[in-house]
Amino acid sequence: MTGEITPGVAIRLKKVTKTYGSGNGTVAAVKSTTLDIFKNEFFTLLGPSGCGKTTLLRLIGGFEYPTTGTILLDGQDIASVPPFRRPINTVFQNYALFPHMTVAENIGFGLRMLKRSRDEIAARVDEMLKLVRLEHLSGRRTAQISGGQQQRVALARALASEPKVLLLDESLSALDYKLRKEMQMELKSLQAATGITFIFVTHDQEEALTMSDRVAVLSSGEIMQVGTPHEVYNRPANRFVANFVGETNFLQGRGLNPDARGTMIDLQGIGAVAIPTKDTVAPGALVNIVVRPEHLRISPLSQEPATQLTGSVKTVSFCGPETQYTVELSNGSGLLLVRKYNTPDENPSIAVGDQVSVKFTPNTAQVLPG
Amino acid sequence: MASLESTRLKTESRTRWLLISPAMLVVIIGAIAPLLVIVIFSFLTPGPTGGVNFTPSFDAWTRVLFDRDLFDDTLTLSGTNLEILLRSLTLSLATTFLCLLVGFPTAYFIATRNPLNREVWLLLVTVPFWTNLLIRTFAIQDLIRNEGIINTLLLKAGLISAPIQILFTNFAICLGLVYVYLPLMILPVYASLERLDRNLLEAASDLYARPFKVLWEVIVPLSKPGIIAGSILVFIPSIGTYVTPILLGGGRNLMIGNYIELQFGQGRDWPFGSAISLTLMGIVMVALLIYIRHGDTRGHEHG
Ligand SMILES: Nc1ncnc2c1ncn2[C@@H]1O[C@H](COP(=O)(O)OP(=O)(O)O)[C@@H](O)[C@H]1O
Ligand SMILES: [Mg+2]
Repeated sequence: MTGEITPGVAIRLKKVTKTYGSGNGTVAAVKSTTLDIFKNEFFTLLGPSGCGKTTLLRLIGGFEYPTTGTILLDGQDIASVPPFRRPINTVFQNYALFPHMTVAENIGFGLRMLKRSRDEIAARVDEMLKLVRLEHLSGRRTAQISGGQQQRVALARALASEPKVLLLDESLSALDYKLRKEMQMELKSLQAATGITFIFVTHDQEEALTMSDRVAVLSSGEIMQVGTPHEVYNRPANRFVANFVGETNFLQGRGLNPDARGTMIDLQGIGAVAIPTKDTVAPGALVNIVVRPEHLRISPLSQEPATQLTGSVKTVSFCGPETQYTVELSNGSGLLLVRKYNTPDENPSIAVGDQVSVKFTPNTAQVLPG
Repeated sequence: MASLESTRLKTESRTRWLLISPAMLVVIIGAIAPLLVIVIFSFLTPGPTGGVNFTPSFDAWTRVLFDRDLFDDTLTLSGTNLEILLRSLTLSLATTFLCLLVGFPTAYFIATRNPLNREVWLLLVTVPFWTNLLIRTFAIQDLIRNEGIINTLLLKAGLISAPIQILFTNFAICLGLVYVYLPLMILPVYASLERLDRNLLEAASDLYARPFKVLWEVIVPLSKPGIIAGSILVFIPSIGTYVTPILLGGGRNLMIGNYIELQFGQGRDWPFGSAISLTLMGIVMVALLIYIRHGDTRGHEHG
């Protein structure tokens, strides 16, 4: 075992790869991944279906062994330690509750396997039942409780033995919308209360943003970006992240010579705009300008000529707190999605077919290489 | 309205009776009627050349457990009958246990192959059924007799200096029974293992269960329906078996099936044969009840 203790790091992945199959039919489910997950952190693996989230989680849980690379838990190499020796527990996507045991027996299973005393198990089970508010169901069979309750039993079962890390694979996907929202909050507060590192897997970007301290965005077995929800949403590292996390408009642009205002971009249909960027943009280079729908302002076309995009409204959809518009740009560069918060007294003044102008404040936009 | 509803129900129930009547007829003619005949026979006296005399008597039942002294009519516990009953019970229980011991791992092995290979393995399990039982039993006889392959090999290898007597022992009967009834254990156990959610095994392992604990705490309890079905399927035919004790037990180690045959054949004592048959049925039923009841409570407390 290689000792390599870094304070604050719970899980460290070093150049981990996982390839399924052999010969011709190999699938590189995880490509060389290096990642630190901190103690007491709510960490989310976010990505579309098939991008390798489950595989990454199973590597950490010990259900798969990495093809190459090392996995460290508190500085100890655990890549070849079987699951029953890892202080890491999992909440499975389908809950995987033992159907031949009661709720209480399910929750106490891990402690029983750890040969804790009867009294300790009973006390801990009670504590966990209270934590997930299921005291009244302790004697029920798992088939006799609802999906949301099963979810909480699975959670209590995984937390009962106080693991160092808790893994949750798409744990909320099977729940209906309201229950999911509720469980999101509950999970978040459980994590804060227990201080256990949570590694949460989801394909739902909204869920990832709401719950996480940090998010890793994955695409085809590779990490695209790791950062806080704020960073991932507002400063996406590339087009994939910008597109996957939240809804986004991409505008075509070309680099100009920078002047006193900073990086200048020639935006199709508008002209020169100053947009703050991290890296310099070479003059003439093709770039994408990323603008979130809520950062666009839509108004009936006025005669002011200056820097604005114009187009005609294709669809208007009322979504409760906001109204979404799609606007076909008159410069022919495609559709824009615009989101506008509703106020109760306001009548929708823009209808399908209207000519509109769309504006944005340059510093809400983001420049990505084209 | 109400009367319409009740007429509809009446027609419905009449149709239902009509539909199940063929099945009922088969059950009555095939199972209940013969059973009644046997029950009646067991309370009569034997006829001179087989058959029965219609004189009511408890004699046959008394003789299941007791020997009547020829001179003074006193009753003593019957050594032979008890021995045969006990041997039948022990051998069939041992057979069931051994079938489970061999069958469970086999079924687990098959259930964990990929789906295509599974079908091949299942087919292989049923292959012995394609050959007649007598031929298979003679084949075993040939394997285990003193000049047979097993003894010859052991002698040649110098592991033994004289052939081991396997044929015509209780062990030989048990071996033959296990061989014959093993598939009846493997198939139902396989069926319940195959339905087992693999996620549960991972969940157990995730919660610190070592492989043996995963087996004992999750796999075995969840495949209990298959284990119970398999045990019943093996136990019932092996306790009443007829051919195997004759060919492998050499007629010296009778089982209850042979004893019954003897009463209806050479013994010409149909009432006694009927009484032992019913005793056998009773034993099977009691054994099943205990087994299923016990299996159930075990499941509840162990959870
Ligand atoms: N046991 C396996 N054998 C072969 N390929 C697999 C296996 N598990 C996953 N894969 C493949 O690895 C890739 C990543 O899968 P997975 O980790 O399940 O993705 P996700 O959880 O993000 O949907 C997919 O292409 C999937 O088909
Ligand atoms: Mg998955």
